[in-house]
Amino acid sequence: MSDGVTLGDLQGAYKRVTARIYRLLEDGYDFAVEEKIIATLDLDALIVDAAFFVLIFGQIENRVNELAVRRIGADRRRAEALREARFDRRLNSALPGSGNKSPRDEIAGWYNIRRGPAHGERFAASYNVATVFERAFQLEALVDEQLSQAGHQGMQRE
Amino acid sequence: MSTNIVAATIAEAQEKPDKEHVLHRLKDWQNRVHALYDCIEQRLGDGYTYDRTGKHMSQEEMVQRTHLGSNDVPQLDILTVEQGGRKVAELRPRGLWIIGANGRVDLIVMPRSGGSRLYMLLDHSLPLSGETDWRIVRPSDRLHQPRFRPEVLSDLLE
Repeated sequence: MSDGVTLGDLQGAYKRVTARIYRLLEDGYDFAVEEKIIATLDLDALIVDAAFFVLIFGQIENRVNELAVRRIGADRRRAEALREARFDRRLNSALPGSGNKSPRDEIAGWYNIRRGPAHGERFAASYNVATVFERAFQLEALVDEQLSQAGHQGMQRE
Repeated sequence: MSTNIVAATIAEAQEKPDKEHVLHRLKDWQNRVHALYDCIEQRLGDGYTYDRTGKHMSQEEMVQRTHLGSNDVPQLDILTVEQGGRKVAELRPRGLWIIGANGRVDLIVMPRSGGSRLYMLLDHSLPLSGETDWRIVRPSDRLHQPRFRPEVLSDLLE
């Protein structure tokens, strides 16, 4: 299993993968303006976008887990138990209090949307992955900032 | 109300769809798309002819879930641009409810140099904000979403 995949890695992969799919879509318009071909290629693109939405959320979830563990100062056994806990519990541990309500609600929303494709249920009708990446980087920075503060406070306690 | 398009569209996707709200969104969508067409026609000027008789009617999930009938759903024009009796461009509304965007219009250009090229116009504005922020996207380079300026269309038609 590889680790250390970042949002930047995903962004690069998305750019390369979709360039191939969408070039076909562009050719579809070029050679046959047949709605069936266009619809098939559009569906291919939707599937890739949904998959990337799940992967992008995975990066945010990983940061949330890290922050939750850091906040409760858990040992390895408790940390593993926390990673198995429901997402809302991990999220509440990571981003507690009324001051974090807005990012907490937003990340909970991402989790709900990602559940459809991740569990073989319905997809959103369409995704604009460019703005999704943009916002994911902002959310990652926000969680990272709290991770760094939590780490600092932990060191002070020691 | 969210201040970023991803959070706003994710929040909306989780709400139970309300008929009045969906109709309001569709009417706003119609206004934004028709205003975009007006702007394009104005910029391209008298050297072209314009036909808006083709119509698009949303059959998106939100429309179906609120059981809106075909008489309720506002029709959106499909804009065909011609020059010397030859079709040189078509703008076709594609969808309103997108995670990370406030609607998509497909732009197909048939330049003098031959072939057809597909672009997507994505609105980055917040839903019902009374503003628009159209971006032009080449499908094979989806992460690059510069602002759409209608004056670039005449270059694309060359």
